[in-house]
Amino acid sequence: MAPIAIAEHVQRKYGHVLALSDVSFELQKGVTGLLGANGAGKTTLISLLLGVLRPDGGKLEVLGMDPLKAGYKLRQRIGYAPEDDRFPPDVKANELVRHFAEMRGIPRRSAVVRASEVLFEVGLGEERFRPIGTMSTGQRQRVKLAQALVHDPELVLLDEPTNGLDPIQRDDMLALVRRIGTDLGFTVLISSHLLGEVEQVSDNVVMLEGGRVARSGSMKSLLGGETPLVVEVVTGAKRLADLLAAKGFTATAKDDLLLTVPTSKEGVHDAVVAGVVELDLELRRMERGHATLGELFDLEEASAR
Amino acid sequence: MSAQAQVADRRFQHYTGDRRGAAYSFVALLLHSIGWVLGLKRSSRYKIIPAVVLLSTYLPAAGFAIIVTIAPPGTPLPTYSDFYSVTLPAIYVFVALTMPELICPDRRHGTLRMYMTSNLNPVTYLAAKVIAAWSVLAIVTVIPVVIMLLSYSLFGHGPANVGDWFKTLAQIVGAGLELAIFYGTIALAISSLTDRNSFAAAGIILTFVLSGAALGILQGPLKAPDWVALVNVNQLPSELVLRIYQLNVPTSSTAARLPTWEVAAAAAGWVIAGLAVLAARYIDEGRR
Repeated sequence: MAPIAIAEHVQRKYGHVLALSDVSFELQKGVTGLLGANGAGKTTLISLLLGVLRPDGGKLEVLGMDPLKAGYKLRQRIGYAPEDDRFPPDVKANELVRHFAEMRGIPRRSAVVRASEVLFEVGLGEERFRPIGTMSTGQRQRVKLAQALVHDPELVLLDEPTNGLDPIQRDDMLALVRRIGTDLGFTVLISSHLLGEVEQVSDNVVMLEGGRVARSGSMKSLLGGETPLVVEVVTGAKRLADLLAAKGFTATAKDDLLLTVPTSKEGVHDAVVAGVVELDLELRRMERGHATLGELFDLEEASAR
Repeated sequence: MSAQAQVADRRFQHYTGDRRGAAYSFVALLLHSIGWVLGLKRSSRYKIIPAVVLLSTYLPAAGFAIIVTIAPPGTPLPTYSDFYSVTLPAIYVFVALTMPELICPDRRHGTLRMYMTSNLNPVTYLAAKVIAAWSVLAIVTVIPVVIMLLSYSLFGHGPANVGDWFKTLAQIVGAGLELAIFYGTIALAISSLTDRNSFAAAGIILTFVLSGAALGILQGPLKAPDWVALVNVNQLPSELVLRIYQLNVPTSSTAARLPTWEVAAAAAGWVIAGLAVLAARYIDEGRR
């Protein structure tokens, strides 16, 4: 499948400060997390994809077009929700979304209908006639998302959509973003500085660090195909690990309560259960776990040291 | 169950309709901006200032129109340029309080960035805003005077023949547009320097007041030459209005002693400078 966007050795400077350096990645369909600390270059990269910034070097292609040359013909195929959510307080949600639909080329009559539909879709059906100034941060973020979707774009760029949200609102917003990417079929690039968020919603990830791509690819390939078996006992995890090792299985005990066992070798489940019985241990849980991106980066850092 | 009953599909539908280009979005923004400044589809507090100013410009025009119906033949009637002497203070207030509304909120609320990622670009966005400013001001600088002309003509005090009538109409439109373009551009340029409406309004009023005061000092104690009068943004457009109406009114203004081409060139220079400030601010701002 052809990538939605391709960046090849893209570079961008602000004066003498290098914001992006040698950035290369391919943006595939689905939900992609753009992960990086504040100042890593996420917003700069989004601006380059939109064609509102000119790269100082390299090549960028979005939906088969050069963002700088394509102008509005590309921009009307992209939905963009900026980081800022300070909309005019006296404007009603449906008015704002309708207006930005018109700004993306949707005729007025259709824009009115689309605004209502998309506000329903983001969960603001009953609130759509309310002035934005009377809405909560979570609702304003949804309005921002609605205006990015109203013209039915092929690519949706969301710049830190969970900013300022409490944990419950954040989970709701992430679930909504995930649904937009899966059920509604939009290709989404969501930027965040939180690893957990990206992990929760993304099929793919582009990780920026100091203006460079530290890592990119599908979550599956980054996390590895194998999911280890996580075994939790009341005490004696280390003894169990030793016993499994003696039987030819690689097991790692983090402490005396928890151990992980790779599932690549056949018979691992039976061996763990037999070991628990043999050592007369109290088993609390045994399940297929998965490494998180955080653990992955921790492991890499540890191995680099 | 009714035979006509049907299940409506409420699932999200992808848009398959017509998509318009940049020209459509430009016109949509222009109309939206005019309505925004006039307080249309906004809460009542945003309608008060435009309503008061519209009243204070249309009432004098209506007053002049009524005078003409009762004035005996030969009574000296107010001229079209007299309209501006009566309404200019209200127009200044309108300029200072409404022009910042056109651009400051977009910068303050972050919607400018959303416009820059739509069908518009800094040039088309700015063009829509500038034309909206001129159009809104023309509502108070052109239309009331056209009403005066129609009233004068109806009651036999208008221009003597059809040729003169159209010449007067052209003068009215020219003078009104000159004021709208001049004040609209200067006010937008000042507003572009800040995100806050109140700072912009204060800046506009200060510019009008200080340019007059500075001229007084320059031409009083400092004995500056006559052309320095061209820096007075308060007086310059009114002086040009008199030239458009071909009136030679004796005033204390030093600008009155300058040739028309110098006055017109100075007014054009101010407008071009205002547009340059706007372009510099927005081309930079749109690319942040």
